[in-house]
Amino acid sequence: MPCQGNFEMATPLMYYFGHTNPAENIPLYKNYITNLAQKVDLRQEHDLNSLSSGIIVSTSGWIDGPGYDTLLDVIRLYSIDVVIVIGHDRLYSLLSTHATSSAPASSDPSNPPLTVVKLPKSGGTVYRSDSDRRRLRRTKITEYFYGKRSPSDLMTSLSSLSSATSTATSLQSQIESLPNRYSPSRIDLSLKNYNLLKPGGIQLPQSMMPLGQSMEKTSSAINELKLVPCPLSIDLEHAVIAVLHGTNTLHGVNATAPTLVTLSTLAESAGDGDPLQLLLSTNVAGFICVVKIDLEHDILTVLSPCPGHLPSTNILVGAIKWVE
Amino acid sequence: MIVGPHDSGKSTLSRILSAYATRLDRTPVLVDLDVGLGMLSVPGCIGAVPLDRNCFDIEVIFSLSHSHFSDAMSGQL
Repeated sequence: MPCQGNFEMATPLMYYFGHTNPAENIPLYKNYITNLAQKVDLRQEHDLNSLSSGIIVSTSGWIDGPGYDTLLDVIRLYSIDVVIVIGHDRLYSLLSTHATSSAPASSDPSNPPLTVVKLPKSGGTVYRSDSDRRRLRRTKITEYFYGKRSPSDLMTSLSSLSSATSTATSLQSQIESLPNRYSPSRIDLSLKNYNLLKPGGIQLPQSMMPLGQSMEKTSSAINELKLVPCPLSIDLEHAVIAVLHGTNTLHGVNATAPTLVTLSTLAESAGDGDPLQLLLSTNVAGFICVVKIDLEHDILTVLSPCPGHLPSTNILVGAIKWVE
Repeated sequence: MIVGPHDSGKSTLSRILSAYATRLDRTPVLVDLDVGLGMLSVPGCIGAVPLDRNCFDIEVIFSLSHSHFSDAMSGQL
């Protein structure tokens, strides 16, 4: 099993945060972490083998300030009992202190004692610059839409073609010359049939706030956790946006023919008065990427992994962009 | 849970641990909270996936078959 190994996965449960840095919207990040924890718990309850196998959590590299607080939240929410700290002495000592100070008196199974393990950083790790990261993100999205070409594909195509390939071309370029595994399709979305949403609440810098007020004191935390309709604008071009599982799919209504689920009907089906809160705990069905915007007719042309209707009418906009 | 600064090998370690666990016929759930460069899907996401032996394929280096509008419902993994 190579460590760069691959996951031929069943459907993962995904939440679309929409930024590449959790610090962009901490309440939203915490909201999704909490939701994910609940769903994982729910699944573990029904699967004894899975429950005994536990979970493995990989975190982001955000470990300072609010990032550290988020780590403590994750430990609590996922009932973590072993934390492995790689190559960071200060974080290790902070977490060790936290582990000893928060040691539970009773043997409560939902709150196990915390063990902190220190690991040296492997010599094989490579520093990735910001441009490396951008490139990798780009590649990831390309792979989502077009599929990953792999050496085994090359073997199949070579054996089927049985053509003599020049030894001068490298393996990498041969792999890149393979056809795409997936073919995404372009579809037009008439926006009057869809709820285009984004997490609201604009973070104002301190200088723009009234004198003597700070963002923390105002109701900004509530606003950040609110989904607001996203107006159609040219800013949406190339945006990678997530299609959420709608309540129409949840209730087993024919998912291939999306009916217009307005926010008010969502509220009715949810049974509580906050439809936006419901959508914030909704996971992602798939991703689409905006390729063209028709502002006059409110039509969004998107690249979709599969042809036909989207499975839901609720679309969540983030800040991730991708240019083909 | 695996924590550490950027580029310290967190994803790699979690993959190694997942591979060991599945070889012992365990079925752990892998949770990836890295929105920067997650393992499971496009950037900007957090997610979880249940793993078993079939998830690891030596032939293919890295391919993601993440939900192309699959009909999995919210609440299930």
